[in-house]
Amino acid sequence: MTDKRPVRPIMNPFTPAGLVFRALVILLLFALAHLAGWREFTGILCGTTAAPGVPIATAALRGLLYVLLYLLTLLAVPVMLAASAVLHCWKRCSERSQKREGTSHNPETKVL
Amino acid sequence: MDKTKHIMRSAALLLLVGLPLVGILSAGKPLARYLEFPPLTRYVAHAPFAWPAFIALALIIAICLAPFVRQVFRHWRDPATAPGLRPFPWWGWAGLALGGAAWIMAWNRFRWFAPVQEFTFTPLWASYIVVVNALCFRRTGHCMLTDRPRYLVALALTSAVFWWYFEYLNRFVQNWYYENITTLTPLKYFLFATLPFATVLPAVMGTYELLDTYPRLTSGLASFTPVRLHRPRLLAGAALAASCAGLAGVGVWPDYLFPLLWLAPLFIITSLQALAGQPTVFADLERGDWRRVVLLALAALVCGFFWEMWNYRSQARWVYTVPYVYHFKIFEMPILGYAGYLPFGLECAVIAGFIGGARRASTPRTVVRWTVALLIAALVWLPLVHFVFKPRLADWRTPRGVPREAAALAGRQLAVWTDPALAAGQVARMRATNAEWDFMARTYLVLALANISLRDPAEQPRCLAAMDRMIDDTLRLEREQGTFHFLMEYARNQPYLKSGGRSLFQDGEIALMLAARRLAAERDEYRAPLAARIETMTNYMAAGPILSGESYPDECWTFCNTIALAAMRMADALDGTDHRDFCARWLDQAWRHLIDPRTGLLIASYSLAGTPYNGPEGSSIWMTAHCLQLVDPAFAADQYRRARRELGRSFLGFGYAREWPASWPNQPDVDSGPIIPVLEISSGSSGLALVGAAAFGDDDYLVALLTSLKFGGFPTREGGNLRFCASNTVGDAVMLYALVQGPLWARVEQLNRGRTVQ
Repeated sequence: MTDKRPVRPIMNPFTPAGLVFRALVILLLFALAHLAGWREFTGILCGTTAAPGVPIATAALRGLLYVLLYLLTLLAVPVMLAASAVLHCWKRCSERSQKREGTSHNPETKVL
Repeated sequence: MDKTKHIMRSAALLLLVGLPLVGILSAGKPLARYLEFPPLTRYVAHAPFAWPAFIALALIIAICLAPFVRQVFRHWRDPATAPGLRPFPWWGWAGLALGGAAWIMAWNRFRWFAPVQEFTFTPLWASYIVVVNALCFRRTGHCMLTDRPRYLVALALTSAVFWWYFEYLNRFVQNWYYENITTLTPLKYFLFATLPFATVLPAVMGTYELLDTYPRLTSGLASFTPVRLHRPRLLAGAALAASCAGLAGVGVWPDYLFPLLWLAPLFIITSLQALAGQPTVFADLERGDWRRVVLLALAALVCGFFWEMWNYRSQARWVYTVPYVYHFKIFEMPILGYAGYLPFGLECAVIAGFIGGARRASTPRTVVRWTVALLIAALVWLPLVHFVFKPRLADWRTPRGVPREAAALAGRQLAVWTDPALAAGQVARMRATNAEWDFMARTYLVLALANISLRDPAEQPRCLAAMDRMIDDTLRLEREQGTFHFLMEYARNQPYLKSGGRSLFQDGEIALMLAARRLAAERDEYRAPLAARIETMTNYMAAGPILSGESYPDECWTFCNTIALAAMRMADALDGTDHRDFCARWLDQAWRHLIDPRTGLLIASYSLAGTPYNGPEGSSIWMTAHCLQLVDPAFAADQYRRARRELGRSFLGFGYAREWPASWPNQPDVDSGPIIPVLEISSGSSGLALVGAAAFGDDDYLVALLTSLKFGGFPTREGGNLRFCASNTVGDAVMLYALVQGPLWARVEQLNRGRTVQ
């Protein structure tokens, strides 16, 4: 049986709300990693071993996760937020033009 | 997917991958080279061109194609419905613009584009796909990109695997190989290959859909000769057996069976489909409809033309080595080779038919808008990111005084070396990776503190005390623990040849520290140790065949030798000795033995006799050029200029340095630090590039490097002190030295110049 309930906009990655939600999740994860002190483990980038008492594999994992979240926060989050703004404006414009034309959009699809 | 389909696909996969290997194994050939990655070795020697083979193959191709060409031309004037054209969509224009730009980049060699010059094929083909879809949209109002974007993505993903399979088959026949990619690391090679491979199926299927809108191309083929098989399963079984035998033999007799690379996979899959009672790509032929088959072949041929054309002048490119028929080339492909594209089009359709999602329409506009919005946002944001991190140069480096950030870095460094517990922890961290770093952290900090005390007399007492503490501690450790304490373990593997068990790495840097301390403020206790060390170094360097000293047994480093030369010039300034003649003779030997002919840069390491162990290395050359400023300023400036050209890079406002020039194979080592693939960013080389940029007044590059440092160094401030989490004590000391260096070298030059005048 197929669930035909519509997906909530926040859960749909292709909506402005979905993008903002995902950007906030990344921010939250980065904040948690930062507060947990994982920035210290980025020393793995220069090949230096971890702080005493932390196994190297754990330190490497924390360091690399921190770097990944940091890069996502700096590079992807602003892009996602800006894209959500662009999408929002785009949606508003197309809704206005559709209202003006009084037609609803029903794209045909071509099947191979 | 039903059970029959599942079994059929599994069997096809097993046969397609396994048969060439079975053939090789049964012929007793070594398996390993066929599975090599990256696949660079060429081991199949092909037969030369032969007219009989060329004519025979040309005749076979002509006989096969002639009936279709004749039929199409006979019916060319049949009435056909012309579609109502729509405006060419805006994204099609964007694709054209991207394609034009990518083409210009691919066929030119702009210096600033060099880091990604190998990757032009992907944007070229991405734009091709967009333009082909836009043309299709213009003619029909539909195309994959707008109607079935998910299918398009699935095609791209499948395409990458699909073409990797043909690369795998090519290991057995070696009909093509790639040029200008030998310096790629396995990961970079994988990326280099996978991205363009992902465009193959979308390009061919997109072209097919476009050609399908031109009914004249298949005039008369809708009701052409029907192919009705009386015993289809028997024929399918026979075709399967023959194709399997052929595929198993391609590696054994590559010169004879190489065309099967394109034919065998097609016939194996379609035979299995026929045996399983499933429709095949040839199904329409039963009622005489050849349109789809011909259009698919034609679509691959059109793509083939563009593949070969764009490949022709690209930097990373393929070259063919086809037996018997390698003549009359159109671009790199011999003319008969284009026939291989015909069955390839059918293969593409067979694989595309496997993608279940093809029959599901997705929500096209939403996905297209989402992609475009993300692209716009990325195009706006990514070029701006560096402005967030771009430093104000006056905070980091000034001609006089101690810049603010340098003072903060120095504060942290002094805190480390004045707190025994903190120092022990930092030393342990460095020594766990490399004992040399423990030593070099001291050297760079002493050099930095000497510069700070010359820049700011108020800081002198604190700096001198710290320098004395570090020098005394280093001398004590050397005395108590011996030469090997600051060296890597392999130093014990064999005896030193000429230095009497001494390492120039250690002697040179200790001499440098002693001299720096005395230049900052004279200290009588260090006169004799400096003089003795300089004399010892000079003696064993002079005993070597090319006047170089060993850092490790029979292993000389340019880095250590030029540091030793700099220490000699500092000693000359302090004590009135004169090592100019020795330095000149060393440089003469360097010109003869240590210059890499490809780049003009000094190589990094070599044997005592001058046999190179490797090429120029970023973690060596920047400091080498800086040390040579005290020996031969013109040569030093030339080395910096060359290093900047070969290794220095900037990307979107971020500066970095490669560890090796593009012309050298990559071999990450402990000094380079991890190398970030694709851009080849080396943390070790980038850190030392700061020293070079600061020493040679290259402010633009210095700012770009500092931008990267602020972005990727993970700076942390504690009580007004600054450190970089992604670095370590030696890394921070190098950065500090880069920011404050200048007065010490200036003082040496001033004193030596004064002596020359007298």
